[in-house]
Amino acid sequence: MHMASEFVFAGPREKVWEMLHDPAILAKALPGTKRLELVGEDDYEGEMQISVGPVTAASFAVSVKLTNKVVPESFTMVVDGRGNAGFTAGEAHVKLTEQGPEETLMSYSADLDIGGRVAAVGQRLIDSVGKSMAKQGLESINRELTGPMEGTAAGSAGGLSTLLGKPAGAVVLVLIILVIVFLVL
Amino acid sequence: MSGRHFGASVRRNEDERLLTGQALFVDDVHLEGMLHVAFLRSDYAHARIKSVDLSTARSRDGVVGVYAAGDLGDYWQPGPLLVPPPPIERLEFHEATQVPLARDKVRHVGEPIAMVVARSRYEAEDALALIHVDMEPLEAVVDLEAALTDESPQLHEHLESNLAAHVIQEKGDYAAVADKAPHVIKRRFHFDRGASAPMENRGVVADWDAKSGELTVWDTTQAPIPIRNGLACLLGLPEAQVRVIAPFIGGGFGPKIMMFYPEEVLIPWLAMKHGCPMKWIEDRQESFFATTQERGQIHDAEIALTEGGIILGVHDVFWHDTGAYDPYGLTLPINSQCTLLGPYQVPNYYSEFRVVFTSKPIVTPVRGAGRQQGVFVMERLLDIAARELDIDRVEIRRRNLLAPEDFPHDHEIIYQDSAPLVYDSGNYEAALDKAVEKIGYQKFLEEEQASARAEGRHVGIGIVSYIEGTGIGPYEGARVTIEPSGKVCLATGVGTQGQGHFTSFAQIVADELGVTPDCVHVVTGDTAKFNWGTGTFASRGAVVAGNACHEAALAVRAKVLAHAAAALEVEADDIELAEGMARVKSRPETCISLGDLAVRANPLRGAVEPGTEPGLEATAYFGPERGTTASGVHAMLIEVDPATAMLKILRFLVVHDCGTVINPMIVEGQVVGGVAHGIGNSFYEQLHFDKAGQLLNASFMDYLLPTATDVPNVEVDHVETPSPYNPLGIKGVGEAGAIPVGALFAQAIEDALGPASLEILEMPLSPNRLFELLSEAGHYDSPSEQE
Repeated sequence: MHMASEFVFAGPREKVWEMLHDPAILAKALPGTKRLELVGEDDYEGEMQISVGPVTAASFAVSVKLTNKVVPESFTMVVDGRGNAGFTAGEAHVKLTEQGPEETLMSYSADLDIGGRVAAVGQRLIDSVGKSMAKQGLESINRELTGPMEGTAAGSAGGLSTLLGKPAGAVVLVLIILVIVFLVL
Repeated sequence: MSGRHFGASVRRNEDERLLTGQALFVDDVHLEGMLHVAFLRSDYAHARIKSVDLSTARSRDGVVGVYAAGDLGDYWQPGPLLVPPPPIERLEFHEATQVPLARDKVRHVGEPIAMVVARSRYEAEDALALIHVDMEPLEAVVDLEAALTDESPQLHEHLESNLAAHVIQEKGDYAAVADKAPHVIKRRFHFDRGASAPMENRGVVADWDAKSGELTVWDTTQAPIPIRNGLACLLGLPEAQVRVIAPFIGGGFGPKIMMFYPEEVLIPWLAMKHGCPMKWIEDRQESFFATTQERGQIHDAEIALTEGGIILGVHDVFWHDTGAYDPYGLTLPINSQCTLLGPYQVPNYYSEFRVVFTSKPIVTPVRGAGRQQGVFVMERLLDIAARELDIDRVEIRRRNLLAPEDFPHDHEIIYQDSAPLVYDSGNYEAALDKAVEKIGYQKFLEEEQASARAEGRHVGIGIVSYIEGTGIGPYEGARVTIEPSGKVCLATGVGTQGQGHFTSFAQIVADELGVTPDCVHVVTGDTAKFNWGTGTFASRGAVVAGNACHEAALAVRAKVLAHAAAALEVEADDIELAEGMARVKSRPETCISLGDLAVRANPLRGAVEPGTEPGLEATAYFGPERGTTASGVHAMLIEVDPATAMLKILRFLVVHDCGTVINPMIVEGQVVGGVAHGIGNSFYEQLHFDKAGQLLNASFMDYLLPTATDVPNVEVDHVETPSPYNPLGIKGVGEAGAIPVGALFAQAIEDALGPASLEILEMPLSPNRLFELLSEAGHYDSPSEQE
């Protein structure tokens, strides 16, 4: 599956880069993160459990590796997610471009193999739900840019508080994609 | 043969039970202490299994057992090659059959890896989530031609490549005639996969009685006797200690005769291992992966003709997708190869095919069984020839049809039953004439189409011919018994999936014994009642089992007459059987009931003539020398809305020749059901796999089936050309309705959209696909079409 889109953040590029690496913000953007650990440099492993409306907890293990990092311009994420509902694997490329002092364009494209039940019965939803979920996640980060949200890191329901020290990388995007993929169940 | 009941539209004996919910289906079997099984299936199309961890699942509450391949011990073995390849010279065949649970590798999405036994299916499915399988994904094998290149990943390590078979069959010398032929047409045709989508999915229930040492299995199989024999062998039991019951089944359509499905060997094994009944019922989503599918082929075909449209020869090279394994041998591609010839005189034929392993679910026959593809190629070639040579579509067919005096007609190649492809009989032009007249072909083309076009409507007509090899051997049997109550019992081995066996077979027997069909109690598909035979497939039930029923009824009739002659003190010739009585023809009041004769035939005391067989009972077998060739013509009027690419079927007509008709109503039902299947295969149903071998539409939300509103009233008419290959003159009819529908849609759509608007070279279509084809053909480029 190929996904590509753009999003404009209301903030300078360095700030956006930083935001995309802030665990507290990731947690807000991604409810359902049970665990996320840095297991090596730019190498994360975690577990997510997603449950929305009538769709109950699809749990999956996820690993994300960041490569080709050019601070604060671009990076590549290599993703591997596996759960009972299926799997996804592939790469996502993210690029941040300055559009003005207070405006940053993020363009991303992801090529993901999706398999199992997710692919078999969720196909019709992946694209449309994907886009709307990505937008929601990114907008919540954008709100953070323009004015801090209430109750940050501490209130993230144990979410990403286990994230080890260093900037978490922009795993948010990949996780959003994963959430999308697993939500369609 | 014809009698009071044979040939009449007798109401179906089974319908009361079916319509009032009294019929037993496999899922209706509930046994004390029964456990439930769920299967963990692969999410990958092709992957190496590095490890399987069952420990967490085993410890879950409600779970009784969890098994992977390694837990099966010696019971783990590849399934049998169900259909060995026919004796064709230079034939190359490579066997790779399915296994009960994948051990080292998975080769298609949905292949089972592990199974959980639990108190309920709910708990079993929950426990599946706790099984951890470490898999190393491998590149999938999806494209048929790419699969045979050196660069392709290989599915089966014990083979040299993904080539499952290579076969060439030839008649005459195509190359020589093509060289000199005034007209040669060459095209590439694609046919893609669909599901059989029966109303009832598969299911197996097994019960092991340790005290009597008897295993009973309820199975949605079309072949209960071979399943029993195979299970007995696998489990080390005497055949007589294994009973397989195929009760009422909600549609078979071919995939239910695969042997063995993993679940069919595993559920009985579990029942014996745990000493309690086991049940597994396939859910709809499993069915999209775990039940076999059909029809993926690519043809590079060529036809050589005279200027007058006479066929000089056909050249066809094709690829056939067998999926991950090939347990069904070459039945499908050989059916395609043979059926392509159709009802036509084809003096020179070169047909070459390659069967290819792909990392997709297994391919075995689905209603039509390879014939659709052959018919599509030939009918399309004739349509294109008609257009290029400016000959009417019906006329070009008429010029090439075999004439009644051409039979028996030997095509000089080998058919799927290993016998030479010889058509026994047919009257093809009569059927074509009847269809042309009934659909109003000339009037439509000359008047109605023009006036519709003047109104801006796109209406078109299609008319195609086909043949169907049916009623192949080896044999079936039947036992007829008259009981002291006067009730007639008929047992046969071929299971029923809705075809009307309880009625058609009863009609055959009833006439010979002078009773009404509702007095004949029919038992099918229970190995405890009859245990010789092969199964329900290849449109052969009525032909092969029907004739066996007839032979058995004749033998019992002879016994009845002998006993009646003795009882009534007249010659057997003077006796008639009617209304359940044997009576003297000249004085019907002198009579004795069949029940009383049954008592006389089974005395409790006294002496009998040495050599006397007890009772009014006989068993008979029938095995035809070779299959018999049914045929027909389908015609259809449609309207296409180019703006939406949706179709409306205005009329659908089938003129069918299945030889002697036992029950016209049942034949009509078979034909109409087949047409519905054909409509699905032509304009709705397609299984979409991505390049990683993932099936993208495995639910009825995305896999379109034709609904009641998409299936028109089908007009059915008959031509009866009895088969000389069986005493009743019957030919098969179960698949006929489905076979030519793709070819019919293609022709009718082209006709509706106007000459040379587009050329349809693929099946299935869909509204989306037709829209794409119309776009590619530039249909929407001119402003007038965009309104």
